[in-house]
Amino acid sequence: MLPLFPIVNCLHGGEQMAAIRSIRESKIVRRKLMWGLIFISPWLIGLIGFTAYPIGASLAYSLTDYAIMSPPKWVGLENYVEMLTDDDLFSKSLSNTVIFALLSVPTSIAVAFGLALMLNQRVMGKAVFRTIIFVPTLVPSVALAIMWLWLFNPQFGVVNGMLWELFGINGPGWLTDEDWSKPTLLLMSLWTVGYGVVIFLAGLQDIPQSLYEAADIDGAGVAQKTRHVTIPLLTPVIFFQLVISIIAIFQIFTAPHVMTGGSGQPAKSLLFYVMYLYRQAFVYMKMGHASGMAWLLFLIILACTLVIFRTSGWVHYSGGERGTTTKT
Amino acid sequence: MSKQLSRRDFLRIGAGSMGAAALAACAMPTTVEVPAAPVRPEIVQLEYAGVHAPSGLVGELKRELVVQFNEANPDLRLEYTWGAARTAGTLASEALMADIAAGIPPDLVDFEPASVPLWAENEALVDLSDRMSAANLTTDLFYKAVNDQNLWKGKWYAFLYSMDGRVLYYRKDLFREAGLDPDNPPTHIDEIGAAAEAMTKKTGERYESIGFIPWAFQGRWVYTWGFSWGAEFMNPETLELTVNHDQVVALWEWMRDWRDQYGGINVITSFTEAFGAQAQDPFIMGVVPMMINGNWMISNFRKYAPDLDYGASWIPYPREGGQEATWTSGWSWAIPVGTDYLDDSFRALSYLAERGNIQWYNLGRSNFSPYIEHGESPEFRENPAMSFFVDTLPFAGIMPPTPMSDMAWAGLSDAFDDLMHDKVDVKEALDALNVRLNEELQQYL
Repeated sequence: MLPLFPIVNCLHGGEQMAAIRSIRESKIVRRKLMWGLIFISPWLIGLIGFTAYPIGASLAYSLTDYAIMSPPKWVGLENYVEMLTDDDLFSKSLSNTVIFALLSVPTSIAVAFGLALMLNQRVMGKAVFRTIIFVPTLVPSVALAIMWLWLFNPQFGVVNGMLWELFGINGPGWLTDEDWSKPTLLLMSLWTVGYGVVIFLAGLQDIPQSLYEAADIDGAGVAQKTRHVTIPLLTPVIFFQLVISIIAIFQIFTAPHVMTGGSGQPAKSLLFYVMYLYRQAFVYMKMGHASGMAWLLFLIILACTLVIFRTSGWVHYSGGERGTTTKT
Repeated sequence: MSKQLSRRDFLRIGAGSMGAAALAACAMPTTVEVPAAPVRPEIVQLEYAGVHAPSGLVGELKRELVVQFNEANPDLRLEYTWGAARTAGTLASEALMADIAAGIPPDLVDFEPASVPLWAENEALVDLSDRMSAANLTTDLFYKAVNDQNLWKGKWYAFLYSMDGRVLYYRKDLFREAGLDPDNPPTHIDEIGAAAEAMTKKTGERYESIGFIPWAFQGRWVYTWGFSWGAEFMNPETLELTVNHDQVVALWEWMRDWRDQYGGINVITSFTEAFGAQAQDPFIMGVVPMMINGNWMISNFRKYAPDLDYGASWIPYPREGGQEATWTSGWSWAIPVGTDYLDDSFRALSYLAERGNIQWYNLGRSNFSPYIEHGESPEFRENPAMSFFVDTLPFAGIMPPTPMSDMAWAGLSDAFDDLMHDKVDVKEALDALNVRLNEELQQYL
């Protein structure tokens, strides 16, 4: 027998054949695994080098005083203690972010859902409307921010111009007025709701037509069908949107950074968490402190996501098993 | 058959991976390794990362200087690259930081003077002291304000090649229209208050013009007004910062009262948001007949309103404790640590810093030369406003040169904005900021 497998030699007949087959199969499996790993190695190397290592490094840097261009110095938990006990801007930026998330997440989900419902109707030019809704998401964020900055200019912006021309209303200061700055940013963000609409549309088209037909037979109207058929069957999509939106909103940066030049003014009303993190890292050169802020943000997002998962009893899974959306 | 991971296994694998990554990351460098200089090629390529767009007026001047340098130095090839993100002192200097950390910095960079101490403390800039002496570039050649910004702890880390200044501009024609004396501009704050009122026009609730807005344009920064009001921002002996100086408090209280007199911050912001630029500049348009602004406006007036009837004067100050002064800043050159050919980089810097080149460049862009001798040069005296600016330079204060400059800048900007929105008490906000800045400063002293 094969000298490489002395244990096999001790076996007899059928047992020996089964063992040999098993070894061959395991060799094939190993070879497949090796080739599999070789084929995905560009991705694996990227993941380890550009994702896993930076994540680990940021955790290590968060325990140091690190100014990027000079070697880090170990300070233990000092960065965390400082941001939690002795940094007014940390709490201000966090509260701004939470308030904006509370405003933005439900509104963007509701608007995306509403638009998806409309775009799901059998109307002429449906594809054109869908394209129009999606196109703004392709505009680069910086260009978008500058465009809206002009549109919302209190003196010569188009928005206030239209308010005056059509309704005789003196428009507010929008981004220059601390009471209006967050709602203005919310209005801007709704312009790029196209991704959500596409996901809701996919969810709507996944709902079996037979359920609507059954509801029709039962005499249900549009509102009843929406409430008792569409919304329950879309809850997995709403759940997905909720989680993704919260993760995205907590990381809001580009638009307010560009529009306020990083200051977060007026009255710090647009100073969001990641903007302050950026300021710590690249203006104050406190990369250790900024890394600590990044880890706290990760924990906050993780906690929010876990709470959402724990309270997801309202999500209806047609297949009966959580995590699947088997068609019925 | 694929087997689904249990939650426990998933957490184990996740925690293990993260731990391994963190451990790998813990093998962080404890010293900065400076690689040996490479063998010098026949023609050395050098990069000058500048803050000005190559297509603009200032960028064109710089490119012209670079062309002259390359002609005079055939063994070197200097290239001007534009990247605001690679210039310290802007709000986006992350690329320069990354370049230096990676050991591939540009060979020469434009540098915001106030950022020099922080970057020097972080070992990011080359100490030029010996080379400056060898090139006969000594402190006695330059204004005090220049030396104070070039040196940190007695060592040269930068060369400030272009100075700016701030004054009160006023429209003489509109002074006459309002019955004011155009040859006697307001010197004290009570006088500018009266002049502003005389030149403010309102239709219903809407302002047609506001005579003066103290915090508009360059008046926005506390340093612009501070030196005129007699404020001191730092104790030069102990390097302790004093951004909560009584005169800063008095200045901001005066501005708050001004805000209230003209209808509140939202009304005034709404007015200033309509400001245009260049030919539509509010000063040229006459909607703000007095403003605090910089010398660079002179070339704007020359280009877009050559017949503009205007004058320049000292920034107004209170009768008690005030003085004739201004704030000067500008742009410096620095050599980042890690440049491959340090001697050649300094050859480029010292060529650009030659008197003739500096004078030519600054005249071209209506800025001022750091060389004291150029102050008497007739070219800088041709325009009355420019001539007045030159006269202000010996009385110019600078942003306190400490590693806290950027943090102080952001903190003061935040505090002023909070004050204008009635979020803070002036004194309390400035006291708190001052404590924080001095605590942070201790690590560098």
